[in-house]
Amino acid sequence: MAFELFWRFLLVGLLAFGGGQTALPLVERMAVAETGWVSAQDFSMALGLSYVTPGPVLILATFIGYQAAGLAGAAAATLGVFLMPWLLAAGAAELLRRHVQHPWLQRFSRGAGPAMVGLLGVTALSIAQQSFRNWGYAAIGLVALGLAVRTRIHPFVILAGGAVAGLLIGVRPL
Amino acid sequence: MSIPTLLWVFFRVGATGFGDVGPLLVVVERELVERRGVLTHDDITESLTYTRLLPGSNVVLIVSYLAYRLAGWPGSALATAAYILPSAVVMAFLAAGYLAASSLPAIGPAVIGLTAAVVGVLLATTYRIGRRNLVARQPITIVIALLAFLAGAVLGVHVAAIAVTGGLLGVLLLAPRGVKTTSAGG
Repeated sequence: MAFELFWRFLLVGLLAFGGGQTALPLVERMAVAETGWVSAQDFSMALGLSYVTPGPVLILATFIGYQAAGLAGAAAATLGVFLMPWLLAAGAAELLRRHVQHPWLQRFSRGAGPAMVGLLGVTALSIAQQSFRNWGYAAIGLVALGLAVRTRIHPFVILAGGAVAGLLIGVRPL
Repeated sequence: MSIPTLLWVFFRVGATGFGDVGPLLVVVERELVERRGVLTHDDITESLTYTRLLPGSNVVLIVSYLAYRLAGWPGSALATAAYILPSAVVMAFLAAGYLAASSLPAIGPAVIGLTAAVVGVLLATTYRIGRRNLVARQPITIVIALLAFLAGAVLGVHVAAIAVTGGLLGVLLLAPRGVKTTSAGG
């Protein structure tokens, strides 16, 4: 299990063109849809908490790895997701400099970017399908969208607000 | 620069930043360029240039690159690990706490509410990253995004296959150097 976590997150790290946030659909599709390691709710929690923790957003891999296989899983997933970026960046510092600006790499990145945008839509849709139980929750999503686009409120605050709103909706009889 | 000092600097950076490139660069410039003089401003700019197209978290790429410049392969490996360690430890604790708390009755509706908000935040991210990546003058980028969405949502194609195919389509179909687009970040 730990090995599977390692190599799947290795793949995520390798394909994370455009940075951590852009790669979130890779993580969600893999950890929720393909392997079932975590539920959509767990993934959302992992994402929310990754906004709180100091480091990169892909640290949500640690959370998912822990859910899937305890400490060993957390270590495997964390190592996997950051190994290739480290290797490539350190390599770029001296050895690969010539190759890192190759026009093909530029074009690959400019093609992968739009694909990630499409995949972000898939992820949002997938999570929505599992969380919009009634109009109240749909409203939470819409308000969150508006706040995230229009204001500079930190995502964690928006998510925490969503949690509180969820509690309020939950206690009313449906 | 000694390895222990290097590790300590990057550990502190990893423990106090917010995973964004901006704050990272502020701290790195202050600690490594101004205070200790082991790097120049040009080195910092270089790290951005040469990691721009690489996959992975931008902050990790920059840390790995700069640490290699300072202390070669072992230094880079240790410094990157030192940078990631604080967040990883915190995350592991939070994951354990979440597992323990999952039996509480209030957790259910709160997490569903949070999940609903995540959808909104993800859609906002889609919009922001879409604005950077989907270039009206290059409609193929919009086509790639739509095909990726359909492939994922309707056909259930493996996500890695979609990402790689998008990249390959970019290699084959996108305009050569000279057409200006901004790259995605974060």
